[in-house]
Amino acid sequence: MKPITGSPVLTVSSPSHIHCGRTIKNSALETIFALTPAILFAIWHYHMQAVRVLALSGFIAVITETVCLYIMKRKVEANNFTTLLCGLMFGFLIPPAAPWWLVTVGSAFSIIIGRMVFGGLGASPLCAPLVGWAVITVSWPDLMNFDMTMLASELTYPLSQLKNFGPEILNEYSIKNLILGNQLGGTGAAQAGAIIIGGIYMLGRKIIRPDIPFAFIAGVAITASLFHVIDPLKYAPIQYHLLCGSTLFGAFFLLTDTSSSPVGHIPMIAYGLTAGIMVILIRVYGMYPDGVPFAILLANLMTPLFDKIRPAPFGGVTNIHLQR
Amino acid sequence: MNPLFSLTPTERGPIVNVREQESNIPLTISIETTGLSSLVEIGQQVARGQRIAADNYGTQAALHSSVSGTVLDVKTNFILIKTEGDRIADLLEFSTADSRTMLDNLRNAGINVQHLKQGCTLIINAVPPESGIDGHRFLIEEFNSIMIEGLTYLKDALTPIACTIAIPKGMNWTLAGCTVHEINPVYPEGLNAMVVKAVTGKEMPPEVSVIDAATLYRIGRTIHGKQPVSDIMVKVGATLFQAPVGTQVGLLARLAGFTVSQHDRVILGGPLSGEAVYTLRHGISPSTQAITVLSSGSEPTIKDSPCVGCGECVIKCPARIMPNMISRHSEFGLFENTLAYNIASCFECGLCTYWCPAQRPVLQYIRLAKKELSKQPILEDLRK
Ligand code: SF4
Ligand code: SF4
Repeated sequence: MKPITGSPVLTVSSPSHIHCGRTIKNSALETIFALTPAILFAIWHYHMQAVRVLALSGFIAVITETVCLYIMKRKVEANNFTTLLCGLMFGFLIPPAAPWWLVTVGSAFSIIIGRMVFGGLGASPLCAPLVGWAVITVSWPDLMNFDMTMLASELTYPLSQLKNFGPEILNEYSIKNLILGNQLGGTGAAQAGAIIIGGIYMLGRKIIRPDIPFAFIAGVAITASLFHVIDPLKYAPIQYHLLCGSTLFGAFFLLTDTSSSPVGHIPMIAYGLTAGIMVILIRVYGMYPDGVPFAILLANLMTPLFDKIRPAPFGGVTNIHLQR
Repeated sequence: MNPLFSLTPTERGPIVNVREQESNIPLTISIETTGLSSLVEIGQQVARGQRIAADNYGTQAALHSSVSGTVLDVKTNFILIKTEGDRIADLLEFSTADSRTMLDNLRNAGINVQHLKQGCTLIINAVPPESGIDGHRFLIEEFNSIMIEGLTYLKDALTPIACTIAIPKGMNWTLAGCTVHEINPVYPEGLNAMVVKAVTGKEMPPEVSVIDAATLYRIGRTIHGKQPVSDIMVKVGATLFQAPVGTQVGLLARLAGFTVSQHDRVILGGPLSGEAVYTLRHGISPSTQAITVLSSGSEPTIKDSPCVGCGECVIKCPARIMPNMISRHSEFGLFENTLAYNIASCFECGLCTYWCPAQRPVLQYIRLAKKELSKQPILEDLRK
């Protein structure tokens, strides 16, 4: 570039010329940081099994994305940490004893089908980790069954107990034990207390907006209490629905996935409520003990509809020639 | 609150007069003439207040030399003049015959009258457009009578049904003949579209004319002195300058104590909605109110990255549209589609770009689409 005499080469840009400083990269890093309590709890409960699952799923996700981007002749963007995050979230959902090949296949599917086929970061209409989860859950249901894969553990999976033996059995679980993660479930998703800490951190740092998680929890709570009021002997009380399975993990981390959730306050609330109601419906009537992943995937599919709920635009000008 | 968004005017400091500061070296001014045709040639001697560029179609305001000097160069978009001599152009005539002539006189004297309509509600916007752009505070407090003179002329020309001055809350500014409307001093409430909404309660109503306080002062000064205004108030950083129109931004930045180095940005206006210039020799225009100098950081503020769909821009957009979808369509050249997302409601506040975590140049995409769309012929919709 030839400099204009007497003037340094200035940068020309369009407004705004400044930026708030929040980037995709530091949001992803903060989210990973918010997941660390749950990771530590998972390690406390499952020792090396948890380390193995989480490390492998994170690693495979990054490798898969890099290979895909290389094939697509695009710039490798593992340095924004979103892929690592996606891999970790996938690892959070699967049993700690999942065989290595299952983790690899699931994590790779999360990235390939959940993300890259739609064009990469930001383009996916579905929450990527759940896509991988759905593929392996449908393909290898036995290996994704927490009770069956974790026979060696003294812990049990409250939601399948609920399905098989009815709500009285839940009295065996104290709230404190559930919060401490003394229950079976996804490697990280079952660490209810740690997930709450992470969620509060995310809300406090304004990485996620409160609309979606609170609407979702409200949806779960309202529907669960309706069922419970109708027949307390048949349906479990709300606290178990909130603390068991991946309800909280879904609320704070999966449902808030940017590309698959709607934009705007009212659509976000409608989306959260819908997913919350669906969780309980699937838990009560469906064949899967934990309804959260499928409820979120269904809500993801409805996102374009929720996005249609828009306020009237400023001034309602429809023709560019009429402006000003 | 983020000080970046605070529109409360700052304390008044001393005013630096550029002509006095630079009296020992001849000043070179550069006047941007984009869209106008030049009336002078290289080497011609011009007087202070002489018309040097005008619009052939009779819509845009004419431009005048703010100094007496020699024309150094006439470029497609600029006229460069070097100070010399002490000539002053003849006084202008301001007729009071009819509204059209009155507005034409103003336009010839360098005031943009395109948005002024007969029988409108006239709103004087005295809210700083952005944080720190409050040079007009001095004008309102010290030259109230000049502004009233301008307002009287405007009222004669436009016969407005109502006249209101919008001021930031907490100031005791008044203007005789205007009702006062206080505005919450938070960006983007000071932008014209938002001020009109606050005052009239309607969004983008057709029967409203807005001018800012600095322009009203220029009108008053023009009528008062029967000469085009040559000196304007420009805020550079925290310093308020009285500078001739066309003063080069490099000089002002230097006087304000900035050292501009490679890849820095110099912006006419504020950092959220201003226009970046490409050379330090760019001159200020009659409507410039501030210059912002931003040093280049290690990271670029905008990147070519895909939208991640976080919805920040949608929630922050004061026009309640979907900058995310507009920018996605515009990015791939699907400009027609952006109309369905009400692109025309955007009043270019820049907030979407400020908040976008993907650091997309969202407003740039919006402007691109607007430009492409406005090139197309008007086919329908105007009768609605
Ligand atoms: S610049 Fe962006 S935020 Fe501002 S009105 Fe336009 S679209 Fe909305
Ligand atoms: S703020 Fe940026 S990344 Fe987020 S939705 Fe808007 S354009 Fe997309």
